[in-house]
Amino acid sequence: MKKIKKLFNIFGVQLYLELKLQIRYVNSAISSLVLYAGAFLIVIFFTNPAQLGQAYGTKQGVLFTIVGFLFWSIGIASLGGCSNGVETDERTGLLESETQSLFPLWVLYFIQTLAENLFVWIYLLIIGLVASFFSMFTVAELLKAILLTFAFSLISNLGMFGIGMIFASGSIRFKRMGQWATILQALLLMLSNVYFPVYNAFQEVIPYVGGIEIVRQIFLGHGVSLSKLMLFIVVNVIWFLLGILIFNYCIKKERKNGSFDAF
Amino acid sequence: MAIVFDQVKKNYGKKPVLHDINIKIPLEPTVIGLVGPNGVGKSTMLRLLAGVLEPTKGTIRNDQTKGSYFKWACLHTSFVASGERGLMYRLNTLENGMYFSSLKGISTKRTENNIRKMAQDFNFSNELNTFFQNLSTGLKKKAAILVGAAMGTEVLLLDEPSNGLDIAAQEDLASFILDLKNKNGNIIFISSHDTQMLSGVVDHYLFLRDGQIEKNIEHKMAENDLISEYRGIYK
Repeated sequence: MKKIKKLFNIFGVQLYLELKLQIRYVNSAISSLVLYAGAFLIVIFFTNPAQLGQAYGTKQGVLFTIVGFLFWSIGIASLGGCSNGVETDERTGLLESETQSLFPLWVLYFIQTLAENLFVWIYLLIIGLVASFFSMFTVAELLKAILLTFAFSLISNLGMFGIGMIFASGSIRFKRMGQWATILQALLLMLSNVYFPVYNAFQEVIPYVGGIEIVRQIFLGHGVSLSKLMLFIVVNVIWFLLGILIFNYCIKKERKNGSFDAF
Repeated sequence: MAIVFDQVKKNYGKKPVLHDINIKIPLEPTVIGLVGPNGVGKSTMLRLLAGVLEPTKGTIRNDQTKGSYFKWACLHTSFVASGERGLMYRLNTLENGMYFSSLKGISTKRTENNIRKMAQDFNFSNELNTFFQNLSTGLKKKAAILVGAAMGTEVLLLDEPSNGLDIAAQEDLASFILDLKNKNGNIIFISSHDTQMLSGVVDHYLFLRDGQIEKNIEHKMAENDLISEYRGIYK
């Protein structure tokens, strides 16, 4: 019980410090907002939301694209947050101090990602509200999409965090991996069902693909398919566990044979 | 209570750094100096004591606890890295203290009070709200030492703490270390080449050579004696 209280305390401190940084470095916060807005505009103007709507037999193509965009955005925030976080901490000498934590390193990065993601949700809400102002969809529909995406992304972010941990493990072993994580983030946008329906069973291994499909089906009034939900959960739990296992192995190896110093 | 190194060997990849380390270090208020030329394994020894690194072979243990040394070290030691590293650049010293104490499960309020109190003795009070990235090299070092000391752990591990400090700051550091030992009852390990600082604070010297403890001197030494001892060992 005491340990859980300490875990919540870490989350509270992370959230407080993240808020301070967002306020202190408002330029950086604005540039993040602009980046997400830019990605959103690219998805809307360089894809065909009407075609996506047609594929699902609805006129809600833009809203369905937004759902995909939200899942992808929050997913890459989880992936990038932990992989870049580990790389930066190793470079600045924080990782060895963090190793002295009461909790395993992956727990710290998981908490850090959760705290950072809350601010990403604020950016996404702002972008969505601006988009609804231009009458692409109503605010009520937007809020429904955001709430549903928020709920199901709690699962898909486990998988994305796991993939991030695999990249973080690469950072410990091979040092600079950040550019590969960025390439993967762009590839995921193209290979997943952000602006297309699922067209290949292999796409289901991408952690958030099942979540996008479930939320779109809810909007169509089809409810949640139990088998789809189970597959979605299993895929994410596997990525999550795989990421933690590989990361813990690399940390153990670094502690035994490395120095945390030679970056 | 003591920290016991038993046949400890530490490699970085295939490169041996430390080997055949056998020593029992009593956990009582002392300042222990790790001395030796660059590359003999002083920082590695500190990282092993902090539990940041594990021995490649052999064991490190606390002779009074049954669990792993790593778990004990996480709670009872604080490691302050050398150079301008180890704290978050965009946070000030108080915020860094808050972050690291939360990771160790220590009260953030108590850490803040410790930092404020210790900052007065360390002539750092005016810099507490300056972001780490905006501090000079010497002040960065002071900030990192303050955060480490404010955790209130029994053991404090300082890697080259006087590097980058001006003369006044070196004097502040020496009296700060002595206060930690005498008032708080801390055990402080220092890796350094600064003979003036070492001779002023250290009670127990470990001279390292070729990855081994060459000499173990358990008393204070005047600076001239320390220099001649050093020259005698590393000639």
